Amino acid sequence: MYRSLLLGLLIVAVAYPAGLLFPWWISGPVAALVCFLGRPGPGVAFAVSFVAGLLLWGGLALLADMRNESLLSTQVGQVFRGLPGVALLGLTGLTGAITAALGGWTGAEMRRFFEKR
Amino acid sequence: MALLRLFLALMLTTGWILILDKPHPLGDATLPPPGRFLSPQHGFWCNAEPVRPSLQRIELTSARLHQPTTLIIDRESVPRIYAGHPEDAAYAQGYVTAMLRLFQMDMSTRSPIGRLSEIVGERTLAHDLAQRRKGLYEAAERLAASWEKDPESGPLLRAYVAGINDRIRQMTPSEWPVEYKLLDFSPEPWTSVHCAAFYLAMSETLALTAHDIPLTNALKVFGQETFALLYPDRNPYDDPVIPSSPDSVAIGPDSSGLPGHTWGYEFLTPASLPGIGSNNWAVSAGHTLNGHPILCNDPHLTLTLPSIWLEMQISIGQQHAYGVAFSAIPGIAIGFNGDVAWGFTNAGHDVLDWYEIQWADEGRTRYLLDGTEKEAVLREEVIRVKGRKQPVRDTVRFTVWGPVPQLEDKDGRGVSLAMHWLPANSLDPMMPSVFTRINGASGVNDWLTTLQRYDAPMQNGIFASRAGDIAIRVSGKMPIRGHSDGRTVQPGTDSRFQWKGFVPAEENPLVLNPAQGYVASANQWSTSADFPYAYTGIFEDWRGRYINEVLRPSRSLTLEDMMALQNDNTSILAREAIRVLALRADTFRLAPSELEAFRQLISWDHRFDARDRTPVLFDLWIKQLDSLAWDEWYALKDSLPLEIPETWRMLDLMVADQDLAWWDHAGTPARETATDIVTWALQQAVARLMALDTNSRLTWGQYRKTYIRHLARIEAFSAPDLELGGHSSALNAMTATNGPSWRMVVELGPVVKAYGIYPGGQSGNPGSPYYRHFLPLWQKGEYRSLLIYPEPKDIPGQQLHFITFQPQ
Repeated sequence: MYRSLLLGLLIVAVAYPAGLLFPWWISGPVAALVCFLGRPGPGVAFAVSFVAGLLLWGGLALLADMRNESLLSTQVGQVFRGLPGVALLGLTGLTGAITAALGGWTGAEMRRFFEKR
Repeated sequence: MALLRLFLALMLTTGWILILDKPHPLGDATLPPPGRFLSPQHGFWCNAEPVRPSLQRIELTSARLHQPTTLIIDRESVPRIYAGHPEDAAYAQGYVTAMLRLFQMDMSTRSPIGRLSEIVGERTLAHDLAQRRKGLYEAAERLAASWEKDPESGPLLRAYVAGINDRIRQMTPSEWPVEYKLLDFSPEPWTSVHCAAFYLAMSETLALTAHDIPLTNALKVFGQETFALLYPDRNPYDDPVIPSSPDSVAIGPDSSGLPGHTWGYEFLTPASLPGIGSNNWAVSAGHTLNGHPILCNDPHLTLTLPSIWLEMQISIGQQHAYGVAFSAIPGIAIGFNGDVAWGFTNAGHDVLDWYEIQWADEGRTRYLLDGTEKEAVLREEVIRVKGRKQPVRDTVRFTVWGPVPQLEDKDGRGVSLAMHWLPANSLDPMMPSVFTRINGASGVNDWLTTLQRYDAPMQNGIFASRAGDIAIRVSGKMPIRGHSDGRTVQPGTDSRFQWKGFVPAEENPLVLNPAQGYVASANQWSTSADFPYAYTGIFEDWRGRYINEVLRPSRSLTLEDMMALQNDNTSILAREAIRVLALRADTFRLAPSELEAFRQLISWDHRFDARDRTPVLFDLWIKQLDSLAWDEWYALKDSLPLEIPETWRMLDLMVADQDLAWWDHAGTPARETATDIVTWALQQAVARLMALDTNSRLTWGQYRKTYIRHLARIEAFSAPDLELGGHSSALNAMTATNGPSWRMVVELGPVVKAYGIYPGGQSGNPGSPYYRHFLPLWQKGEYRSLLIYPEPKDIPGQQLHFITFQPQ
């Protein structure tokens, strides 16, 4: 559990600065690298990365939204057929979560593949 | 097995990323790449500006600068530029405009020169083709090149453009305006062609009126006698800008040179909408309560978000100017400094003439002029279209008159019209430095000297100074036509129809410190009929007459009176139309509800107030009356563009001639009189109102609704359904889409007191608290205090940005 927490924190800590320099999908490769090096099982890698991605993307978006008092999310939601701002937050969190989760899973599978060889 | 699982994981991850990295069709729109768009470090969340921002201090260097320059964005998001050199000020202005309004700058300069399809796709291709065929891309390139070469405008423009580009370069894609992310494109480097494109866009709005074509059709369809009756050159009730002038020359339309075909001309460009007009007036010290001159200006334009105006202070040394600027031209367009105030209204002169071209060959590369063949200049226009692999290519033909926007009419018949339009042929390269020069004016002579060199679009420049001068100069080149008055299409085969030059700038109409104690303009005729040079145009008289009516007897005007006047909903059109109703309606034919409506209209105060119901009834009635009076016109209008006679003429003729043949409605066996159609229109209006408004609660504001549209027509970023008072014929010239885009009142006392407001906000970012922050005040008809702070340390309160630019 402690190890998973550490892995998750590591993903967040690396993916955040990486996101300032690299494209939006960088949390995927970051999670893959962390999980490759950290050696969790594929299931755990997926779950930990999912939570890390969710926290990073959802957290950053939530922070921006709170400081903006939802001015923009309300309007962007209207652009997309009247989605409420909260749904955009959810979608953002989910996108970050899935991107990281798939990355983490791939990292774990890669480790498993090399170990088996 | 492990390999298979790895393969599966890799595939899913890559697939997920690829899918989310591409745009996707969504109905008739396109979904931006979802991954990038939603990413809190790349996408739209980055545009969610904090509602309570903290001060950002930035230090930058530029080789462009002569001296250190400071740019402060104050707590209301108003930029304040402190520079030591005009070019440094232009640099900082370009920088801050790109900082606050980059997407607006992009859109408003792509549209006029036909470059929208690059970012939008097929939907705007027809628009782009039309703009290219009007020669506007070619004109923008030509104007920009001439501006660049000018010793004054060139360096100023280059500094302005450098400021914009430095800002663009400093931005990361995550900082790009949210519209770039939604439409999935990126900002491009700015050039002086963009500035010229914006200049042409403004000129198109103000001076590209295609009335010549529907007027020519009316002349052909109804004949010279009806034409003279229904479309008199001048409105005799007009109260011109310049009270009186000496002798005149009059020239009438000449249709003798026109080819004898019977079909009409296809509509090439829509005429400008009524309501694109403006008011300005200045009152002398002797006519105000405080004994100081007051200048007022409210330009009416299509209302958009972001607003066309950006409020700012520009200080160059000890010269401090404040007011509103365009997002593509250096300097403050309408504003004041410590000594003077200035502004503009559109003068409405006709500076666009159409010429029918006779081609000499099948390929339409040579045309006839004075019996000889001339070679047309062919220019290939290349339009890149989003979603197409190959660009669209189109050949535009240029003649001695100008470009030929359309080769055939819609039935495929070979009518080719060339357009000769002054702003595209602007001669003086000084345009980009006009505002900067005016900003530094300290008296009436500085202002007059600058306007001498102003070309187009023609404006009523207004001026007032602390020294006590008030003036209006009709500014811009006034074409001298030799052979026709330019109201109708002219033969392109005859060089006698060419313009003979321009009225010498010093003879342009001017009124300076008149005995009446005020000067005023509202898009009416510039002069009385005795002005020595003939000119024509599209002029509106209602607002001009009302300003004169109010100001003429006034002796102790206050700032509050001026603000009330800018927000005045009274309409002379309504007053005169109701007189016709009272004179002509046959009340014996009216049912009780119609009689009630008649009484309501007769006792109405002619004010288009938002909460009143009578203006709805009036609007329904006058529109109905117009369609009954000119039913023959409306029947033809779908197949042939026809100029509908002006409302003042209709009302005038209804008083003068009860039995005019045109009052007869073609759809009935009886022969109608003015009384018949006035009464009938009222009956129809009442029926229509009852159908629209079953609860009898519909107010003018609810019925008319003003829509301030986002530039890319994104509804969520717009301000729809505003319930406002006003009418195109009232000083508060509000319509469904147009209105007072800036209201400014300046008192030029020992301390200059200024007030202003515009419908929008300083930031172009819908995610900023400053996107619509001025809108509520504007809706209420209230103003903000406009204050010049001579030093950065004088600026009170929390600032948003403090940027210092150091020369390298």
